[in-house]
Amino acid sequence: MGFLIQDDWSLDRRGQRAQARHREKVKQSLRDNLADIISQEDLILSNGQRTIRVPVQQLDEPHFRYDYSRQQHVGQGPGNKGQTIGRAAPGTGVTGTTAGEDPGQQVLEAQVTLDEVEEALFADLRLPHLKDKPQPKPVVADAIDFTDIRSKGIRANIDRKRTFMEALRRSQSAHKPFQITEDDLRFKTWQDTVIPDVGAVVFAMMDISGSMGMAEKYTARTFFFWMEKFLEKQYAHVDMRYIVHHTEAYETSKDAFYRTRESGGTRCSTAFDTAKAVIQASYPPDLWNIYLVYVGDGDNMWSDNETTGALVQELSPLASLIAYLEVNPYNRITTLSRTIASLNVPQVRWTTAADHRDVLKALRLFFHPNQEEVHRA
Amino acid sequence: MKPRDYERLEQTIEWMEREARAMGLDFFDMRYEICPTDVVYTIAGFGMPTRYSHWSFGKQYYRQKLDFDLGVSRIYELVVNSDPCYAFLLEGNTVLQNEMIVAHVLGHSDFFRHNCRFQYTNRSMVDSMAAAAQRIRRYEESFGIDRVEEVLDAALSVQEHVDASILGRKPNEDGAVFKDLLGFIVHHSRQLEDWERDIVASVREEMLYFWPQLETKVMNEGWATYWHTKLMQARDLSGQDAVDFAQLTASVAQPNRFNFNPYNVGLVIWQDIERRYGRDKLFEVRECDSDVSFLRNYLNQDIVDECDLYVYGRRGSEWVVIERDAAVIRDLLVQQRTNAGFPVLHASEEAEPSGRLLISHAYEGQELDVKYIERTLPMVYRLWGRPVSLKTVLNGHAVEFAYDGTATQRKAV
Repeated sequence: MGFLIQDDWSLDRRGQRAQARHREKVKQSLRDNLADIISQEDLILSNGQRTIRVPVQQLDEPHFRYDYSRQQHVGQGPGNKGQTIGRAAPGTGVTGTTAGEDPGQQVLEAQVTLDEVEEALFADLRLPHLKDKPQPKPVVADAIDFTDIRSKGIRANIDRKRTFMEALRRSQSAHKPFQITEDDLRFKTWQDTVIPDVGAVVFAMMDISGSMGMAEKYTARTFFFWMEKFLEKQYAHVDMRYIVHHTEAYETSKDAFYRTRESGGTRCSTAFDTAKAVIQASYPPDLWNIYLVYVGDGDNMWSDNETTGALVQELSPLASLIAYLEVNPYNRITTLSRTIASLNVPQVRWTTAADHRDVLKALRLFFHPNQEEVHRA
Repeated sequence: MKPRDYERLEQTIEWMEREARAMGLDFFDMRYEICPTDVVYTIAGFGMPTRYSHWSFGKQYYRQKLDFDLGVSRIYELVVNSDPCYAFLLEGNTVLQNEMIVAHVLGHSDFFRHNCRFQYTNRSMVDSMAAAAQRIRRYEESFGIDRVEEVLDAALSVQEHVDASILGRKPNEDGAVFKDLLGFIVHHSRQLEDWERDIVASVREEMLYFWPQLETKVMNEGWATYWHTKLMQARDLSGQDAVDFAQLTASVAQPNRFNFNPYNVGLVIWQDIERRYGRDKLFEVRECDSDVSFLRNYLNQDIVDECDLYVYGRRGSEWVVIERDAAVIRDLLVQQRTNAGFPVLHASEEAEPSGRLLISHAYEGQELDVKYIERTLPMVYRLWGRPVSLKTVLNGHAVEFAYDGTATQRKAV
């Protein structure tokens, strides 16, 4: 006769451990495919939706196997010859929406949270040359420190261990059975941590002239989207100013910055000019770390290149970084980029992006924490 | 299962085993272990209770566990082909469910013990795997997790390419061509270090152990379902238990539009055999057949109609029902169950100086997936250490894929 056994399996974590290893591999694949992942439009439009699906092909174990979509299969259910039982995804293979329903569902996607993308993406991004400058107003950091124990407080913050100890001490010394009374309750209390924050302001400057096509604007917006995400993630507070320009430049709200479409010619210098005015009005350089980040297509009015160069030169002692990203599908060297490159100012970093896949490269160049960096990727 | 249920389950087990023997089943000594959900899903993900760890098992574990958590599907039991035979029951099951599972695993255990394909399987594989897992853990300590994982990744990528027919006879070393790709690599690779060779050999051993189960999936599940139905019907189920049992049976035998349900189809075939040929025939078939012969000999139009089976295929962007004729369905199933559903590959070595590993696909009308060829060849290269090539047929033309350590090239032959 067989035995019925019941063992203690409570320490068995092999499943979870192997799962953790798989999770690590997903993350690794995430890091390897970041350039593709961060340029996915639906990610940028995902508005608060914290989980996204990304393709992680490597995690589908390789095998020599039949081509599923070219085979016939056997199923069960009602239906006559010729009746449709499901839709195949376009292209080869079959990817389904409902788990386990579709034929040969190849799971080539993994679910990752936006947080995980950000973690992988931002791990080594920093504002370069960030200096400790005295800030006019101390900033209250989000961090909450539990610093004290009191006998009054809110229930959610009951310190169970201390409450228990208190009850034990009291009932023992009174030679009474153990019981927790209202008087035994102990609560953790906290203080807001006030730390002086380093003041930093980032100027997001974008060319919205007619020469910037849909693809270029998309790349520019993708870049700024991730730049802001990174700033939000890594720093408690950074002042953001938004400047757009065509032949003239003006400051806009964040919303307008991402939406505005204009046309017309291009005078790049106007953007730097506007930034200079804002700096003079509100951001004394001895109190603020100033970052100027410009994205355009380099298609500048020829006569304006020199003016722009001079302005960048003039602003460079004030700024911790002047970043120039040229969105330029043909990777041609424009006169503007040549002017910028010829300045040879340590604060200036510049590069070109052929399309949105280069956004990651640009972010990594501009926000590389080291002091001794190259000026061009 | 509530505490008082254990007593009831023990009594049922005693009754069930007696009754099953009386009906003609002859199973191994049984060990029923009641485990938490996590543990059952871990064992399912790993394939065995004592196997080494690999991320793909974790993926499997996670996926099945997720389905369970979401209520999409669930595992009721796990049974290990060994002597004594281990069955893992979920503590979250109701006592009635576990009673049915006991009946079900008795069917499996009998099948393991008597089906000819299982004749040479290692019945103490639980221990062999535990030993292999321990060695692999030592390799991880000596050579690092990453290096061990790399070898495992590579070996697992071709794990299905073994030759189970060598079991029970002396391997034939005279022929120049081997279906046993893993064995060929173990014996002839100059690249592998001893510990790496051990890992590849272990993966091969384990596949040889699993192989009969892959070859008899429909038969085995159908057999177990047939017997649990019989045994449960022989019990005097009270009102609520009878309803629960009917529901449970319905959910296990639920058909799937894109995949046939082996429990359902297997059961119906067994019932049909009993109707046509009598009780004794059941035991003869369970001993002599595997899925391929089982389906070829016994799948008929009555069964196709009862199970609502059809062949479907792709028309443009849609999957469409193509055929409901039993002969067509039978032939397709036989083709797809051949070699347990995996492509047949043969390995040989090109003479020096190239020492190239030549893999040729025994093409019989089913094409390989090119994307997977391109991803798998580098894995084989990792084990072989010299250029590797694979010959197959695409769109009616013979082609060869070659990988030399840097890139995969494709050329017409």
